[in-house]
Amino acid sequence: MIEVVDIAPLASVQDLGRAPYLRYGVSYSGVMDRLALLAGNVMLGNADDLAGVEMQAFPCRFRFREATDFAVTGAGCTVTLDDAPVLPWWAGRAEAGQVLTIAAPRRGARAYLAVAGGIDVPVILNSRSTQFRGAFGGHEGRWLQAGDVLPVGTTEGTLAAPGFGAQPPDAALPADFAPDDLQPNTTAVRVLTAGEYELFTEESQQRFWATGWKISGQSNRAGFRLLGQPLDFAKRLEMRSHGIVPGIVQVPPSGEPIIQMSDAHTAGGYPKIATVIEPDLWRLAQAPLGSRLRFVPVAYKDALVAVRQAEAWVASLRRLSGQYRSLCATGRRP
Amino acid sequence: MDLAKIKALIDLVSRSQVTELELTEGDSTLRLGRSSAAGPARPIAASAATAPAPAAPVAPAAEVAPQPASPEEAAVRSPSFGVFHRTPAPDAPPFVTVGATVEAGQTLCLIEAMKVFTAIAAPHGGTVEAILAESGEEVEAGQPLFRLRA
Repeated sequence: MIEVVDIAPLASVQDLGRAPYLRYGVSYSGVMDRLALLAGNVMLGNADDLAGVEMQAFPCRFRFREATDFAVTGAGCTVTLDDAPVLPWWAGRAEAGQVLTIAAPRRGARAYLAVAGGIDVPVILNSRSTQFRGAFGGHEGRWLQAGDVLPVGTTEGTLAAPGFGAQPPDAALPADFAPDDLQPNTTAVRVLTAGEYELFTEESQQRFWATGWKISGQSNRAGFRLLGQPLDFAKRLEMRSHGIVPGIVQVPPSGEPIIQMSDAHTAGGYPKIATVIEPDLWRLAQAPLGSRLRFVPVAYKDALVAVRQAEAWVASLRRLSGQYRSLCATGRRP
Repeated sequence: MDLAKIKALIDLVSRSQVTELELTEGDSTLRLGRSSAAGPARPIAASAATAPAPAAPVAPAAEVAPQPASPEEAAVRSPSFGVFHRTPAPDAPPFVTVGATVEAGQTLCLIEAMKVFTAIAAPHGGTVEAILAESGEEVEAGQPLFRLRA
């Protein structure tokens, strides 16, 4: 069990989401940064789809009631276990009674706490993710608050002190797709053009690529509202609502794009200009409010290469973490 | 006392547990001190950092959060990017005004981010010396919002 000692708003229990139910109108939910939670689970030897805690505001403080292996991934936060510093992307062991504090990030936006055995809330519709609109899943279908006690799946922790770290994906994965004129405080993400790209004027198409779009403070798990000079439609189009997925970039009549994220509705009717490729959704998740985004066109085959690069990074982490844990288990300190 | 010697002394102090060193030679006195800010908040001291990690998983270099300089120590900063609100509701009076006396934990303002309002509390009791942002404007993470004299 883990006690939530103290928690900033907007933290919740999430796993990799509820994809199979999208077609029945149930939102995806799940973590915003899938790579970060997946890495935490992989480092701890968990099944990939176990749940962790997603944090979007700080500080957050947890007390471990029993000795527990844990990993903190995602944003580069100042993390301490009691008074001892813990590096970002680190897997270690907490003894019973120890308190883990996750303070505001110096880079990135969302941090993830994974524990060996996972946060063991009931599985509803194939997932432990919190579904806020329906108020189910996760911990009582709601955001976490101080005083909550989270169940942890039974497992024998194996990590010996001091644990080990992983190279974060922003350092490990190639970012050579970023444009040469990328400004500071700007995240580049790769997109495929979407169905209604041709509806925009040529000048607006150019501007879509060239603008450093500012992520507004209204942005949240449902979607990112972007600020910049509005895009112009060459032709207005009224569309019936149709299925949408996280990563779709829509342009409402105001002309300022919206990117649908984990808690997005399952259907929408705004024209779609582009779709952020799945292996770059974690980059969006880690782009802080107020920072900027650049969209970079990518060919479908190169998008698949990006998928494979992310998979290879996870596979390598899985292999090395497994070796480290087996050394711990045999009593030979690595 | 020449510069090379002073530099050597600084190196010596920074490598040791010494928090203060005073040295007088002739009519010149040198005092070196280590601020308490170099305490546990600095991740470089991590025992974990020196641990052997598996070959590829490597911990990133720890980044040290900037320590506020003394004139800004009393500044209450925004914890995140968002919209700064001085009032609990559009027509309500502000939480605090310049010159107001506040207690530790008293709400100074709201920051609206991700469609959620977060109350920012006074870290300690004191007097509001200045309000450094306009109500309704967007503020950056870490931006000073109030100057609070203890």
